[in-house]
Amino acid sequence: MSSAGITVTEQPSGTPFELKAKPNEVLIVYFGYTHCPDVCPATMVAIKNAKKKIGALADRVDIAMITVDPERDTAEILPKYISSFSTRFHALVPATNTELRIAEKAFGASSSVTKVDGKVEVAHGGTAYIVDETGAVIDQFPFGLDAQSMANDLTILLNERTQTK
Amino acid sequence: MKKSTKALVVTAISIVSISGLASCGSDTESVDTTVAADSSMPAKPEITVTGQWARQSPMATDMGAAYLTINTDIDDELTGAMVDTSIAAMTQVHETVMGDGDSMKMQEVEKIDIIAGTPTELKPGGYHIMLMQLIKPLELGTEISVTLKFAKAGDVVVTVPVLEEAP
Repeated sequence: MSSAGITVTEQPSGTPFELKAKPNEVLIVYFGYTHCPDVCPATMVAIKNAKKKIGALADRVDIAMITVDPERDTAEILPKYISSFSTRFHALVPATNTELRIAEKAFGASSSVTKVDGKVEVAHGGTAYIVDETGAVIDQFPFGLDAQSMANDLTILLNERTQTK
Repeated sequence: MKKSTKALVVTAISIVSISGLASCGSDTESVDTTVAADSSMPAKPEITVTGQWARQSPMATDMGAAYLTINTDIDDELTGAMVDTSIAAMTQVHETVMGDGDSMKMQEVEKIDIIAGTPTELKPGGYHIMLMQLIKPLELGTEISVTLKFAKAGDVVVTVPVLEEAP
């Protein structure tokens, strides 16, 4: 899997963000939405705590959250939401449905937003994807993975990148 | 690992509406109570709730979730939950369910069967008490009161600390 060359609109800047890490770093890509009280914050807190566990290596971990619910997760709301979990992040709000679908396809992810009796129902994948500087997906964190396991993976991946430089 | 701190045992009679259910203040220490059953009444189920916590709500969202484990000595049903409207406008019992692949979505559940002798866990990725339209964010270090509604045991009030993750 690779997300090389695929962009999603970052907010609040409104500029395209390419789904790949900066050199010598990793990028965690997560598809979620802010009205999700259960799965999304559980994953974001685990990522936050994983970063705490790896010390200075955490400076080389970037996070991109792509909302699957862009109608409600506006340019104003999504950055605020992610800032609760990380000081370094990219708040990605797909400008079109096509933009979202292309990004999802790159990861084999999917989502849906349906309105039933006035209520919004959102389905989305619970996996966080780890992407390298070429856009290759080099690891995945399934929903429920604990912070220590994430920290172990991130340490290995970042050290590999240090050694190959 | 679950800790059994703040276990609350309530012999079940319906707890009449408690005004001023704890919001995020400290002036409602008397909410949790062990309620003695009227001796003239038949034996009622004994509900024990452990490991309760509510997730610190992120900025920019008005949704929250609370989790806990329920034990009972008689089969029962959790039929609903509520918090004071000073905390959230609406409270529902939800379940996160798996769809195709790793797709997950939440849905409201009418009831959860509570089996005697088998702990029923409300935990991330499964059942949870969903707090909708939060009046203000759930902040670390505060507590909320959640009233659990059981078919047989009646209402059980639990003091729930706000934490970043499961205790």
